[in-house]
Amino acid sequence: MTAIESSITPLQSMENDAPIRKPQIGLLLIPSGMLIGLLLVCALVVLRMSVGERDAEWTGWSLKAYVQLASARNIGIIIDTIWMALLSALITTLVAFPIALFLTRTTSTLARRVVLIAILLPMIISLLVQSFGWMAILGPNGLLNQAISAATGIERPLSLLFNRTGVLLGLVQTSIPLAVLPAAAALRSIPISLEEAANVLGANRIRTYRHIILPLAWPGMAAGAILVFGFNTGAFAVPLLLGGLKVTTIAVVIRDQMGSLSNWPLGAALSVLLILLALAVQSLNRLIVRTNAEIKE
Amino acid sequence: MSMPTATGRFGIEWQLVKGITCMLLALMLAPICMVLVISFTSGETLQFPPPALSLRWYQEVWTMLVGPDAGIGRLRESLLVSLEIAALTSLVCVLAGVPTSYALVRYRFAGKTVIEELIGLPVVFPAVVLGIALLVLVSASDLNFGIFQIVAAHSIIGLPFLMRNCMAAMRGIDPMLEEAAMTLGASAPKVFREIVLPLASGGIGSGAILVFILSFNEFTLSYFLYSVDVFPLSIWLFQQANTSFSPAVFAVSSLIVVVNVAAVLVVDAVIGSRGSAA
Repeated sequence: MTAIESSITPLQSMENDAPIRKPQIGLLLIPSGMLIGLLLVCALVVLRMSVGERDAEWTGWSLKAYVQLASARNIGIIIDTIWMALLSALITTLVAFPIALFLTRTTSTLARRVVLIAILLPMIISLLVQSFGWMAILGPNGLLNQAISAATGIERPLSLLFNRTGVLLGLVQTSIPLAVLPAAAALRSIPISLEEAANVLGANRIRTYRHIILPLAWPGMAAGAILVFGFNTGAFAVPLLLGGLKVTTIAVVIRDQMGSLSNWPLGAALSVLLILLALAVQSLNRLIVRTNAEIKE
Repeated sequence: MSMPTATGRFGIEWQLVKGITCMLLALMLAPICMVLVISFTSGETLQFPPPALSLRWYQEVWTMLVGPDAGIGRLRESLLVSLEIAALTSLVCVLAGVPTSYALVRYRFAGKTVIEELIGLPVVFPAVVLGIALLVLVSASDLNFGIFQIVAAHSIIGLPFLMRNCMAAMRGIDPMLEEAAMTLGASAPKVFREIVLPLASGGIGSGAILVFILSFNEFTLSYFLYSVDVFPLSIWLFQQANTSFSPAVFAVSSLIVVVNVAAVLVVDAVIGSRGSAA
């Protein structure tokens, strides 16, 4: 702690005022440090268990869990999870673009607030509540199926819930704000004069989108897509509630291995994999944000 | 604004953007709206559109909450537990996050960037892993933490959200004010209490409400850490989804939606009135 305190240098205007007593910075950091410390302990716990023996997770040492991780079945689930997260990131980014355009271009403060709240609600409101709503719309006797069977006469024509379509829908819906906000920030930074200049020089709107708006907005959209991808690789509640028992993600397998199958090392090894994925995504996001900032300077 | 149509702010392109946005938002909000509408049904089933509108399921929920049999359905108990957890989580996040926010906003010190990165870690950390690891720790310790195991888990994921709001508010405070108070002889704790806290109260308050909502709706961590005695509302709903499915569950859900929307509007008003955030 002394190392931290000795190098304290107050900011800006305080810099020249020697007599001001510096508060104990270490003390200010302790309470939140305890919470973050608990998180780090959790990460260490799964790391330790992942190299433990089955039924002797704390005393034995073994790399068997990582060998099991490489089995065809587990690799399949890992690829499946990453594929669904990628797909959801792609769809979410596409869906987010017009919403972000609207947010940056509307002149009405009220409209902007309403849209912001509307995209935040699906992320905030308990997924259980929303899954009830999806069941009423997409379920076997739901609104959509009723409408289709009334129109075509086919009994229960579509099954959209409790399979991958339902899960994908849920993943997109709950992660929309993660994609909209960075895209809107990027779009806002494009000066309107660029679009006017393109128009003066004879470009139509489609060319303006292709050569001006999309290239300038893409770092923001990519940052959003990466956030959504990272968020959805760890998806647990959505596949559990909207996937029935048919859709398995890494997180659901972790639950099964740690619970009913009681293969703790394998569950822990999958957890380590999820943590690494999250950290990789985080770094990639930082990289894009930083490169973008450098280009702008 | 000499060439309005040239920039896509008016005309067909603008109508298209507006139309697509409205359509997408309607789709996003469709499940929530369905729940709201069906909760007013007069029938016994979840059919849509409802045969007629009535408040009978809200009456049912009312008896589930305060009637003589309230103990059996456990709805009241779960609601109270969830409120308690959410309130305690907000409190813990404020107590832990406000001092650290101040240190990060006002001072430069060794390891600051590392600490900033660590504070953001709970946002990306997979919730399932956190829940499982805490469960392992709790069962290894052989102690009964009651509701505090869920409070601790929620506090970890709530901390970055509180601190983001709190730090934004603190950045808006002119350091000269604190300097002036110190020159006039106020001690550091007094400056913090009488200058920093009142000026940052909007950000702290909106952050605390945000954490409250987050905790109240949270499912994954609660799923791993609930017990027979500590049975949060999200777990109650999960159990209903797997067993009986009456419109009463939809009425409970609608009440949750209303509370959430109200809380979001309050946060929006506080952040909006601060001006710069938008």
